[in-house]
Amino acid sequence: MNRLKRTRRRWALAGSVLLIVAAVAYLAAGSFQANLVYFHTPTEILQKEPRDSGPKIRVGGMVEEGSLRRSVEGQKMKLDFVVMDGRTHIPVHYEGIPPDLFKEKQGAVVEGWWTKEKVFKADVIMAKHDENYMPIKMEGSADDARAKAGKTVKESR
Amino acid sequence: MPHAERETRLFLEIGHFAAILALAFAFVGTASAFAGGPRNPAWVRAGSRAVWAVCALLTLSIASLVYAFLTNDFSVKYVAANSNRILPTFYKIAAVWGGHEGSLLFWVWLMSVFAAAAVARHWRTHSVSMPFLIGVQSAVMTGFLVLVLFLSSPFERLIPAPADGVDLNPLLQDPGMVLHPPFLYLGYVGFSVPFAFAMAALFSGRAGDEWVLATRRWTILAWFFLSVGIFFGARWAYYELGWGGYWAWDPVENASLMPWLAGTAFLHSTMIQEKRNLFRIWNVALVILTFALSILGTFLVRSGIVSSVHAFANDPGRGLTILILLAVLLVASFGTLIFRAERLRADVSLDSIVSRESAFLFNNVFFLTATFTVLVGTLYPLAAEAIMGTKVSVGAPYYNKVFVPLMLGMLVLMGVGPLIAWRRASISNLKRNFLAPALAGIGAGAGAAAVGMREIYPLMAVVIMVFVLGTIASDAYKSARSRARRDGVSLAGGLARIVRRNKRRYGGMVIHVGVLLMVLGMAGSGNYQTEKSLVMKPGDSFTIAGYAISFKEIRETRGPNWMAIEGVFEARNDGTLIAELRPQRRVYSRGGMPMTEAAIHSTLTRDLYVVIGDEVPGQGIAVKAYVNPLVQWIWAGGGVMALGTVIVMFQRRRYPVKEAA
Repeated sequence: MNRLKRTRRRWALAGSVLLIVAAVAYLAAGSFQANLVYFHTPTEILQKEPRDSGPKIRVGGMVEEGSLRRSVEGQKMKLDFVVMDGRTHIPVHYEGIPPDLFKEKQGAVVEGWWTKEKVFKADVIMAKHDENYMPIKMEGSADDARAKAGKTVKESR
Repeated sequence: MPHAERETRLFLEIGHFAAILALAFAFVGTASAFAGGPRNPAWVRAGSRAVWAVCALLTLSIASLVYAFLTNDFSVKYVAANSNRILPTFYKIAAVWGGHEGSLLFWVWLMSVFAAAAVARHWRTHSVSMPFLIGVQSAVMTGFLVLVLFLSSPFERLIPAPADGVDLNPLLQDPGMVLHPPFLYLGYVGFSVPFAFAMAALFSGRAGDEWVLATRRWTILAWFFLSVGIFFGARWAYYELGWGGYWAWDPVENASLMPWLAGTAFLHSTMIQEKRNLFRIWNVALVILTFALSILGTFLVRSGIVSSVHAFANDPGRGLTILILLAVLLVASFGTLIFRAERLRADVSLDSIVSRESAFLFNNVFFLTATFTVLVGTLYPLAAEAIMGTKVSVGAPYYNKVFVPLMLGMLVLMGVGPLIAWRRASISNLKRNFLAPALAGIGAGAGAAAVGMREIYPLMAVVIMVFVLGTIASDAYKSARSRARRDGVSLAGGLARIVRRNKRRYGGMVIHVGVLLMVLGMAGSGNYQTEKSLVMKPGDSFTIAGYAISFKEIRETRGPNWMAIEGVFEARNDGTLIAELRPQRRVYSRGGMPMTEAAIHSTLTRDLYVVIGDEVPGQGIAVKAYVNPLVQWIWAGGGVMALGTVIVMFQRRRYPVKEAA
């Protein structure tokens, strides 16, 4: 009798623990995939299917010298610039205020969508954080640029 | 080279040599404690002296590094990279732990202080555990000293020495930042004491439950430091980074949160072992997990493998070494646990699912699920890159989505756990303790819905928070009243007496109230933040959440080692001036890039938060404004939690020391 009770209690306990864990796992699994943001180099992005919404992606590279244009439209700040690796140049459009350390000839990561107009529409810019950080080797491979651009960033939304 | 300068330089060499000697002594401590074991007191005594020696030598080491910073000895590479002549003295000292190399030395130094303190405190009372305590702590120090001396030495020279150094990263030049890393590290290394005691219990197989009692205060102390460290980090992010928030689920923030979550679970579940002798194996596993996550935290921050505000360079060697240390730690400790677990098996079991024991069990389930959620999100990108070569990151919505329901569940338990009966709660017990608070909570929820609150999570938060507050208040009131009647004092006197008599319980209740305040602040700022970003010229104005903000002028200003442009804004509510806000954009003399300095006007209900950014030639300046509701409650809640922790720490040991040799 006592033993039976104890076994039942154990099952109830294990069951409720399992239920909690399963509920959390369900929640986590559901939002995990949706919130994964993949990182690409400008060269890789060209092979991507363009899309204007849905899952965002990140592109990292160097902000090309002389490419940064600031404009204002109805009190909204707009930025247009080019992010590049050794081979490919990608035009980026962003509305809002960039982070502190964002400027030309520096590494930056942008998050958003590669659109059909062949412009990357960014809604987040991340600039590299440490100014003593070595610049991306421009003669290096795309992989090299990717390895370096992804590091040390600060986000600005 | 002038004579005086040669002497200052010599001191650092002495410090370097001291660190090398410390490594030797740490090794001696490990070897003598394990080899001598419990059978040979002379060896154990030698081990304890080695621990003292390591502490003394590392203190000398740190002192020599501080001295190098204060005397501007730029022939030291680390000093040249992290300081310069015009850096304020305060930050010169902070720069000791401002970079990779120094911070690791600082970590081991703190660890050695904890080790020495633990040996001193428990030498007489815990002679059975002592050899293992010394051995485990010395082993950890040996590992980290190898890392410091061979892979990340702050004593390296730069020849020829530059005339001036670079700078301490301007972002780190903030009083909050000065305190954030030391407290975090104190928390990390603090858990080494309970960890070492747990290992001692396993190795000796004799210590039984004694380690839990012996380490109660150590655990609370470590938890306190870790909490304070995280708290300062969040404040720093809010006041210094200028993005209007305090927590971004950055991998390095997660790195400090994981040991905190596991440590909190441990803190709660040891109480069950103390009172009811349950969860004995579980607690050992928890403390191993907590300390391992502390080391993982150090690894994530210091290896530079994660993209983050805190990771400043990449050195695979360092990361690999910490990873190896972590692997050794996990294999050794869990291995021992598996082989020795039989000796710790409890002879009692849970009586009912509706009991305080099971409330604590569910507390652990929630905290560990939370830990695991963060762990997956933090490590998945590393695994994806290592295995599949894709670079990927996990967005903040993932964490928020999982964490909000978990947090609500934990809050419910926070109300139920301290009041529900041990073993098996009867219906009358449940009614007596929970009926009124539950009704109050539901009433408050209905009220909130009536005034227009519609979102499900905020509504649930209101219900649960009022319920929890109700349980705490009614419990305190009932106990204080009966005490007051018995002793013939006033109600307030009764309250003071029950708190004094049971500091641990009521200190814990104070901590819980602090948590409630903090959750209130997080719920408010997380759900109801308003934001506006515009380009403005002096004379322009805008409104945000009912506040009219006008841009008066832009001017220049300067500090000891920076220059800045400063925007002057006036905030009005219904025409009355409520604040003048002056956000800055600083350029530090040594570093070219501008830094944002937010202007914040705080009240109990909301923060008005304004930052300025880039200038667009001819068009004006970029301005970003936020209204963050209830943020100040987060900081207030942190203060209340700290107060509660201090009350808890004053609780004396209430059980006799069992472990006599």
